This record gives sequence, structure tokens and C-alpha cells, in this order.
Amino acid sequence: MSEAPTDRGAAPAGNRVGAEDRLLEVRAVSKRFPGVLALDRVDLVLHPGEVLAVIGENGAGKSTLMKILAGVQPADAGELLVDGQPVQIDGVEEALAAGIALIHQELNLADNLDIAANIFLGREPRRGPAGVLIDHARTHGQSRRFLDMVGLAVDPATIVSELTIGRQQMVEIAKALSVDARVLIMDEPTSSLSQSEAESLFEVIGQLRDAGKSIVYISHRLGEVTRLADRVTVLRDGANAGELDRQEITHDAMVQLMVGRDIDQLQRAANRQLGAVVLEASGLRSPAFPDHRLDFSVRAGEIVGLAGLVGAGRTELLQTLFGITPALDGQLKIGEIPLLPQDPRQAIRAGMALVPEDRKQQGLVIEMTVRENMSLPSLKRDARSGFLNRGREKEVGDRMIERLRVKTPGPEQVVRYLSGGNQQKVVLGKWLAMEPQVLLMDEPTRGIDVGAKQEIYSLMEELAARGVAILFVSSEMEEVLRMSDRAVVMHEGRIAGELDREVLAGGEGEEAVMQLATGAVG
Amino acid sequence: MKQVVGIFSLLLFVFVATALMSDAFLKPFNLENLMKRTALFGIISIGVAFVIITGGIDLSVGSIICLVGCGLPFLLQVEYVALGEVSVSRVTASTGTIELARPPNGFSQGDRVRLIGSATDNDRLYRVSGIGSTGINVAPRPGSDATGGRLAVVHPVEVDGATLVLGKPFTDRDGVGHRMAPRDRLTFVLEDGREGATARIVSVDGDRMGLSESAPEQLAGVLGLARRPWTSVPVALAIVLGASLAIGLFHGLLIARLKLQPFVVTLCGLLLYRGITRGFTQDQTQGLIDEYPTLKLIATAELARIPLVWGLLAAGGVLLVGGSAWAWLSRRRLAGEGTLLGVMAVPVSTVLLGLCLLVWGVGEMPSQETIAIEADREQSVRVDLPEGTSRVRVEAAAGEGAQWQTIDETDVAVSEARQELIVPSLKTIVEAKPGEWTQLRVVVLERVEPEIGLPAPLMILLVVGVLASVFLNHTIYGRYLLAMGNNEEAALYSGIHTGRMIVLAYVICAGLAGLGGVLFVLDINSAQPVDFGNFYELYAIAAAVLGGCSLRGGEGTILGVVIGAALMRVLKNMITLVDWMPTYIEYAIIGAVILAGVIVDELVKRAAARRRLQRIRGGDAE
Repeated sequence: MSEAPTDRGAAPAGNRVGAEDRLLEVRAVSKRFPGVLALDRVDLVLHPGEVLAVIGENGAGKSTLMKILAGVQPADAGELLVDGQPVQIDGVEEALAAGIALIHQELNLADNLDIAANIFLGREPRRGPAGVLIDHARTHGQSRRFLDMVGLAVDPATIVSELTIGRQQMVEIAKALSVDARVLIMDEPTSSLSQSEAESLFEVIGQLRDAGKSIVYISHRLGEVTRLADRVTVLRDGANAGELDRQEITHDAMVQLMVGRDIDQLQRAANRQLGAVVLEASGLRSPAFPDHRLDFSVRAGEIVGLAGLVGAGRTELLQTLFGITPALDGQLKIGEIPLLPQDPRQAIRAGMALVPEDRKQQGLVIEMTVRENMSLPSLKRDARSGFLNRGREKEVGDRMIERLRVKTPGPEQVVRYLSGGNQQKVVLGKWLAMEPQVLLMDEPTRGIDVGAKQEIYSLMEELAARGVAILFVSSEMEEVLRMSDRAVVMHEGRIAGELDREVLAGGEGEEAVMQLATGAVG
Repeated sequence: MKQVVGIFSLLLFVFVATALMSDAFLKPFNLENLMKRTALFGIISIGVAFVIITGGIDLSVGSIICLVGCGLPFLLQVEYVALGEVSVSRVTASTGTIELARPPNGFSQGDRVRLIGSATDNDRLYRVSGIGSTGINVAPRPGSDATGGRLAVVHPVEVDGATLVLGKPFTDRDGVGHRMAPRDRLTFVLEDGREGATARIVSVDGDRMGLSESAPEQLAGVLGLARRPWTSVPVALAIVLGASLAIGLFHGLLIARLKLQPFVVTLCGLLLYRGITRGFTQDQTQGLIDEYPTLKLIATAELARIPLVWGLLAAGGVLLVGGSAWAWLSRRRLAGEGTLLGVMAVPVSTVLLGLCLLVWGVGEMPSQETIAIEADREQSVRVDLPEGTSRVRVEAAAGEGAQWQTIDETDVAVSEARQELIVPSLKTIVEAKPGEWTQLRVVVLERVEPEIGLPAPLMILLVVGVLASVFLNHTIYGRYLLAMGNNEEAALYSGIHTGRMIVLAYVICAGLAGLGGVLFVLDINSAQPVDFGNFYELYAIAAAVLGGCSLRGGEGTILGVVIGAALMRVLKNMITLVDWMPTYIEYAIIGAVILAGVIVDELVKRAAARRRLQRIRGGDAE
């Protein structure tokens, strides 16, 4: 059946502008990564002049879908239509030519160059014989026009690194406008913005929509979505979970579609027996936030969630605890030992382990085998006067593969070829071999499919039941609410408050966390 | 094992190709040299490999070799100090008195003396006729007065065959006794007072001394020269090796602690150490000349000499059997994931090389050879003899099919060069041994078998290689090094002291470069500060890269690196030996081969990764 722009009858009623026009359409797009089906026949429709929010839990496939739209990755199957015409997008160039621009989660600016140079990077207006010289006057003049469109009143000659993150984001948007993009994809644009910066971004988004641009807005923050979106598409586990029109957009409706089940069902079975305090920080100052002193403790068998917005200093806190960025001062007690770890070796010796945020960069030696990765921290302990104890090494690998049910052809598989969930199990395995008493976990289920996520959760519970103290950072609200015996909420480098199990399990848990995290209270 | 497959095939290919293209390649001398060079470059390449495994680079290796190679002979410089000499204050011709700067101890009545550097009557011998408190009287009287100069006792000797017997002990300038030792020297003084040759003392047995030169006729006596090295061998070795280890430590600390880039640090090192060497040597060539023969054995000794034939046959046999076994064991992989080229390339080329060596070995087998000659009545004939021929017999016959009669049997001097025999004309032969000779032939009676020696550095390479391999593969530090090279951050997060591992790698690299420098200079015997070890870092890096080390770090095997070093040497050898390859395009050929090797390696790796990924995806789909 034809999906041409003239096909008015197929348009759903109730949309604001040009419901009959399908600016962009995604049909049955699939994408497979080793071990994970990231997208499973996903459909998406974008009309001109609307803000479409795409939401879903981490790993639902939002970012993958956007990367496909922007030509960063190719799709394995399915088709893309722009203005009703099928298009082949094999690269960023082609996506831009089709009018689709992606504003990256991690900003993609050359921050040593000035704003104008960034906006026109690769497309500089030329002058002079054979156009060998950059026409700086024109570059700057035109840049100012695009900066005006995003309401940024700064000199185009400003070096990008001198701008705040929020303003850099505006430059990125201006850059997208300068290539005459009709579809702007914003991937978690507010994740590193302050409240006021976010406000001005929302304003700009409104103006762009009114100017007829379409915006695909990806966010975890349902409040923002409620406020901005004309329509919401929900993805779950790489597939379409549902769509909400403007009037249907409510917090509960979105959560319901995202999670696919009632939140109440996620409650944990029973409270655990808690032991003695095994990790206690008092007056701890980390180099990232030297103005705040942190006090908190974790007990044996306790799972403490460290919640907060991105940039609140949670990862930095874990790195300070683990000795990667040693604390400036303050006290820390690990078990009975007072110790401010100066490097990870001291932390490990004291019985700590860290499952880091960036699995491939910090957690694993990606080109080495499962066995070699799992034995890395325990090699020294098991060595015989410096020589590898291969028997013991193999035994550790085999035991952990079995215990964690790592899906791998064998211990000699190179971890690069494992799926995200199995890679994370390898990271866990290497620390379990050290039998830590304090386990620090930074975003333990990021980028992991749902099945493996559940396994990681049960493993955390099992470890806690055995008396391991777990302190985990998570940006997934569901995860914090579900797993934590207690949540420590951080805001801009300080601890804004703590919430206990009763509050977290109650209906207001999420709101309580958000209020602390955004600095509204505490 | 997988990493060395490609490079090993390439080595075999170049080896066989060179042997086919050049007769000189399989000559014992060439093979010995090839092995020695491979060993030396192998040692420094192993060091560089350690640094490359950490993801770093060391450009200073060549300069460290220069520093050590020039520093060692510089520290071991030898001076020869004249013995039995005294400074002269004044010579009075009228009285025949020579006044000395110190009391004339060590002079006795009847000694023969010689004035040196005095304005008068050099090259004349005097006899001591009287000894005073401040001088001596000599006869005959000197021709004129003079001041300054030196007076030396010409020590009487007896020549006894090849040895000299000293008639009077030596004293040094202060009049203290000096016992002559091997490597001291003697200058012959002739009866007419002139100085003859200087000879090295080879052995000392009481007063009897064996010399490197035989004594001349008309020998009046000898002057003594005592050998004074600047430093002793152990001290000199400790200094140069200590310096190279310190350089490695310095590099490592700058890179690990100050986080400077390895390229920058070692590039500065490259300039620094060569500059320092040129400074302290004042750009003069440093050499060991004929000193320290024992020390030089480290680099020049032969561990064993075996006949070339045996060597070829044994190596060929081992390769043949090994390659066949390898192919047999690999056959199952062929049915599985492997491709024909990937699985069988090395075993098959191993077998082929084995066959080649066997054929060559059989070709070198000694046999009694008969060489027919176009006999000529008037002219003598030049006959090429097989290599190593030591005894031949010339035979003649009177007409075809007649009985061969011996004309002459003679020994032939064996040489590395072409060997020839000149057979006289029939006329001459008939004169020597009458007969109706019409046919001539030469029968080779004895041949010296060409032998091949295993150079000592090969053993050093073996030891270094085994130690390095054990370190890399069987100790936790080797594993740390590999992990860190792959991902320094993950290693740090796993509790590895990454800084210490970096320092260790640079210390190993500089230390092995120092060892290489010692061996290079002991082998070559002299070193020019300007270009000693020039570009060696690049050869070493190339060998490491060819051997499977990734410049991104975390990858590499010691065996691969040694094979890479061998490949570099064989390539260079090929360019030198093969006639139609102009030597001046040496660098172009080496560059092209390395590039080709790396490209093929990368393509093979990618294909393997693709296959692997496909397998995993396939597994998921099931």
C-alpha cells in the first residue's frame, strides 16, 4: 500500500500539524549485535513540525535506532522513507543530505576551534583563487545567523572549549540547522545540562518546532517528555511497545509501556539480614568535588543504590573509594581497616572491588580471553614466586563461567566477541574470584539485555545474602527502586539525602529520589 | 603459534629463493655470518618487542648501541708505558757522563743503554762503564753534549727457538720491578742501535717469553712496554651495561610518571646518546684492535663446528619430519574452520625447505671425482677443482680405453676461493714420464669437507629468547604487560601497577640494547661514533612488527620477533648476494617486504575475525 504524502486517509486524527505528511518513516528496521538483537522490526513515523519523544529503558534500542537514522550505523533489515520516498542511508553524509542531523549524547565538537569553524567544519565558505582560502568574514556572518536561531548571543569567534556544556549543545544544534536539517535528533540532550540551561534548550526546541523543524527527542526524564512531546513512541527490548498521542501522555502511561508490567510487581521479596558496617566514609572529599564532604556507610549484606543525575558525582565517588582518584582527605574505613586508598591495589587488598561504568575501557581487556580477564586481579595471589599458576587460573575461569552462567564457547573465547551481558558477567567474575567484602558497581546493567539484567540482579542479591556490601550507581530509576535496601541520592557533588526501603518501595519512591536528585529538597 | 605462521612462511620463502638465486648463500662463511647477525639483531629486537607490547616505542636503541659500542672500547683503551727508562738531565760528551733525574737504580755495570729523544746520538748503543750517585758513565763517549731526553736499558735476551729468555728483570720509571705479563710488549733493538719491530708477549713462563713475532737477526736486546688498560673488563662491562639500564629506567620513569609520550622521550634519547658518545670520543673511531682476545670470544667464538653436509642434512631432516607431522596434525582443522592456505601454508613450506636442504646436502656430499681434460700437446691446461680439494692425482692413458697410469700425485692448497690446478702439456709429461700418452685426467683423492660453525651469539640469543618467552608467557608480570598493552586503564582498574610495568619494559629494552652494543662491538672490533648502530632501532622495530607485535600494544611473541629479525637479515643477505639485485635499492626492497608482510598479516587477521564473528552470530541464531 502506498505511503505517499497524498495519502490523507491513513493519517491518525488528533495530531497538531500536517498529520498527513510523513516527513520520515521507519519500517521494520532490525539490527543485530553479537549476542543481542538490538532492534527487532521497529516502526517509527515522524511528521513535519512535531516533537516526537522516543523513550524506553536503557538497552531498549533508542540510541541504536537513532544511529541508524543518522547514518552512523547501517541497519540489518528494514527501510527508511523520507517524504514517502525510500532512501538508502549508508553514512552520515547521506543522512545530512536527507535532512537528518544527530545531536550526539557526547558532543561532537572540535573544542579547540572557534564556534564558526565548528559550524562550517568541512563546508567552509571559500574565497581567493581556486577557493584555497577560508572566507572568515562569511563564515562568521552566517554563523551568527544560526546562533541567533538557537538564541545564543556569543561571538562566533569564541573557542568552543570556553563555552559551557549547555552552550556547546546550542552550537551543535546551530550546526545542524546550518546544513538545513529538517529532522533534529537529540539524544539525551539535558543529561549534562543545568536546570537553567535545560530551560533555554526547551525554549529553543519550541521555536524550532514552530519554525517547522521536526525533533526526535530521546530522554529518560519523563517530566521533560510530558512537557515537550507532541507524541511519544515507546521502545522496549528493541521492539515497539506502544505510542502515546499528546493527550495520552502521562507519567504512568509511559512507565507502563516502558516497563511492560506494573511497577508494584518489581518489589523485592524480603528484607535481608544486615551485618556490621563494612564501608564507612566520614568527611570524605573527592578531587572532583572538593567543596563537599561526604558521609555515608554500607553494611555487610546491604545493597545501597547511589542515585542522582548524570554529573552528580556518583562515578567520581566510586573512583575515589577505589583509589583511582584518591581522596583529598577525610576518613574511610573498610571493614576494620582505616584506609584512604591511594591506588586500586590498596583498595583491592582491603577487600574492595569495582565493576566500572565503562565496561570495555575500564572493566575488560577486550582482546584477551575470558579466562585471562577473569584471572587478572587474582593472578598475583595465586602465583608461585611470580610464575603463573595455570591450573588455578583455569579453575577460576571454569568456576566463574559456570557460576555466572556466562554464555561463551569456552574460557578461551576473546571477550570482544561476547555480548554486553556476558561481558559484564566476566567483569563480575574477575572480582568474585577475589571474594570482596565491598562490591562497588557503576551502572551494572548498562547496555545489557533484559535476561542478563535479571541474572545480574539475582547475583547481586545472592552476594548480599552472603554478606557482601554492595554500593551501586544507577541512572535507571527502576533499578534503584527495585534493588536498593537504601538509596543515597547525590546532587552536584554532595549527598542530598538518603531514602530507606519503605520510602523506595512506596508509591512515591521515584518522586522522592527525583526531588533529591534535582536539588529540589535536601 | 598462530601469530608466527605468516612470517615463518615468508622467511622460508625468502630463504629458499635466495639459495636458488645465489651459489654463495649456502657457503659456510655466509651462513655463519647470517646466524651471527640474526642473533645480534634478534637480541635487540626482543628488547624492542617488550616496549612495543606496552604500546610504546623505543627509538633510542641504535644510539644506546652506539653509546655502549663506543663506550666499551673507550673504557678498555690500552696504553703502553716504557719500562726501564729514566729521564736524562744532562749529557756531557767529554766525560761520557749522563746525569739522570733520579738515582740510577736498576742500572748495573756492563748494561747496554740507549738514549732516546736526546739531541745527540740517538740510535746508538752505549755500555755502562761506571755508576755514580746521580748518573752513569758510558762508553763509548757520546758525540756531543745535550740536555733532556731519556735513557733506556736495552735488556739483554737470549733467543731460544721461538721464545726469548730475559737476561735482566724490567723496572718501571720509578725503578720498581715489573714482571712481564702476556699482552705486554717488547721492542727489538738491533746491534746498530736502531729499533726493530714491536712484538706482543703471548706467554710467560718464568723468564721465558713466547712472542707474537720472531726475533730479528743482529738482536742487541729489547725495550719493554707495560700494558696499562684504563679499566678492567668487568668494570668496563658493568659501566656500559649499568648505563644502558639506567637509560631504560630514565625513559620508563619519564613515560610512566611524567606521562611523556614514548616517541618523544626516546627520540630525544636517540639524539642525546649519540651526541654524548660523539662528545666523549671526540668523534674518533673506537677500536679494540688486537686486545682482549678472550673477551671477544663472547661474540666471535664458535660453539661447535660440524661438517656443512651434516648440518644441511640434519636441518633438512628435522624440517621434513616436523613439517610432515605438523601437516598431519593440522589436517583436521582443514575440515573445520581453516582454509587451505591458512592451515597448510607453513607445514607445506617447512616440508619444502626440508627437501631443499636435503637435496643441497646430498649435493655437497664428498665423492671421488674424476675430471676429464682436453689434453693438448703444446699447452698446459687449467682445471677447476671442487671446493675443498686437498690432494689430486694426474693420470694419463695411451689412447682411448687404455690403462690409466699415474703421472703425479700432489697436495693442493685449500682455499675459500676458486681452486685451480694447472696440468702441464702432453709434451712436458712425456718428458717427465715417457709414454704414448694421449688422454689425461685428474682424480680428486681427498677433499676437506666444508664445515660450519655455530656462532656463540646464537647461544646468547637462545638464552635471552627462552628467558624472555618464559617471562612473557609464564609469569604474572608477562601477563600484566600484555594486559596493560591491550588496555592500560582496565589493567589499572584490576589492581596492576601499570607504571612499574612500563618502567620494566623500557629497562629490559635498553638493557638488551646495551648487551647488543657489547656484542656488536666485540664482533666488529671497532665502532665509529657517527654511525655505529645507526637505524638499528628501525630494524628492530621492523623485526618486532613483522613478528606479530602490534604497535597498538598487547600483542607479540618472542619466537615471532626472532623470526622477524632473521627475515630482515636474510633479506639483506639476498640483496647483497643476488647479482641482478642492485645493492643500492636495499632499503626499497626491505621496506616493500615489510609493508607487504604487515598488509597480509592485517588481512589475515581481519578474515579470521570475520569468520569468528560469523560463527558466533550463527550460534546465536540457532
